Amino acid sequence: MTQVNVMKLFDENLHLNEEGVAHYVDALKLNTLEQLPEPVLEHVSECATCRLNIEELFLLLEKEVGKPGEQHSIFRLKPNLESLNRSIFYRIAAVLLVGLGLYGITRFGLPRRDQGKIEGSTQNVPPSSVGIDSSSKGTAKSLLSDNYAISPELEALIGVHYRSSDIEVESPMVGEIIHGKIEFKWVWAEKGKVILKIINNKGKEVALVQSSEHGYEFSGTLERGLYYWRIETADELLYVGKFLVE
Amino acid sequence: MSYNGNQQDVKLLREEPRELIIKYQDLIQIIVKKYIASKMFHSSDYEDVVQAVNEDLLGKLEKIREQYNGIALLKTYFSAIVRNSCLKIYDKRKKDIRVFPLGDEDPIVEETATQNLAIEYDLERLKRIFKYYHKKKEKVILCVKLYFRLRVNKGDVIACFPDCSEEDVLAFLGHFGTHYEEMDSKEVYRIVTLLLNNYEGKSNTVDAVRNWSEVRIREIIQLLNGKRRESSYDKESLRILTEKYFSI
Repeated sequence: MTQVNVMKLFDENLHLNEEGVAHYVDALKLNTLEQLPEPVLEHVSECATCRLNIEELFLLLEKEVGKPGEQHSIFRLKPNLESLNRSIFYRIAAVLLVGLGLYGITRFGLPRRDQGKIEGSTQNVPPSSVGIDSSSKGTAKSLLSDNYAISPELEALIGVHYRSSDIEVESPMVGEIIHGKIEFKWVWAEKGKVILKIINNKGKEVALVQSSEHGYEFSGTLERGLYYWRIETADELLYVGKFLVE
Repeated sequence: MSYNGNQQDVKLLREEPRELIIKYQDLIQIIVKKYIASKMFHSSDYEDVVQAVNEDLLGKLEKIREQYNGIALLKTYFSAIVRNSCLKIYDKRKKDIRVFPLGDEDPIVEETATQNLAIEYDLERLKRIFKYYHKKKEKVILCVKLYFRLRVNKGDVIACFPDCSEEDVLAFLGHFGTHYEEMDSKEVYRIVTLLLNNYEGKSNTVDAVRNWSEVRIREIIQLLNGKRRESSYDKESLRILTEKYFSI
């Protein structure tokens, strides 16, 4: 899924601009609302004007744009099983099953892949304090919603093109919801160490890792909430993404 | 990646934007017709409005090309621009006082929302409207149910307050899980406010919660009515719609 620069969807008054409204309508028609950037969803939930604009545009285009089968550069479309040719679907499923089986056979018994030298430290931040601003009033439960609040500063960094030699992130995808372990994977043509940082939505660094390989499996415990992560070298920032822990 | 329709349109926008406007004439006409159907324009103005929209688009082709970021489908983005163009034309024309002759195709009909509810269609609209509220959706649904004195179920309470104790759920349903049409509005919101404050860690007043509900109801009505000159929905017709919605 292509990353979206969220700021390009808002105008100078911090309402959705024409493309922002159009993007939301695309998501409605393609049933991919959950793939919209959180700032967009949050803003629409609060803004009567933008809701009106979206609803009106949706009604104008009800039978037009975004018919099933049309590709979208941003959204991963869900398969519409009713319209899929069943025999093709079963054939694809069969091929996938065979492929998975072969993968399992070749994988079984192989030594565990070394993920490269991991240097530096992972800060052990107690789960109870991760993602929670302890200076806020109210119970920890009531502050759970704060754990999902976006950080405008970090959001603005997502989707920005940092270098001409692209780093391609395989996981986690932007906005991905994660349960359990977090697999960070990327492809980068250049050699050398990178620094991976996990930051909570308050801007607090909760993990820092140096790696000379193209992946890292984080098995620590993170409180439920929104997190950002960065890949950088000593000299520059390569990538910023975000994920949700549930 | 295969070269789909959107990519072709984007190429046209970059290389031959005027050709794109020609290609999208059907879309422009459909949007103008819809605004005529909603009485924003008179049917006799159709050609004038389409021409005015085209002139407006030609005047800002460069701006459209520069501002399009490839995030939304171009056709959707273009529709948003056409929509704004129509609204601009409408605002300009509003200032003129115009008289339209009545013909057979334009009878004045007494319409009430309760007589003309296109139920199934509007149920889908209501479903979509709830989605707009994102994380507040469950709270909005609960408030709508309480506002119209519709029966609340356990799922409504848990969806809104996942950590609600079994005891509190039962107490809440004791009030609102059965018929409570005769319950005083103040009492309804007093009980709801207690639960809200307890599980959201806030200290809302009863009036604040009631106002919040009132505003949501008005927003939903406004969304259902859109920019039509006549209002189709009012609180009574919304009540009928929500009764149907929650009974499914």
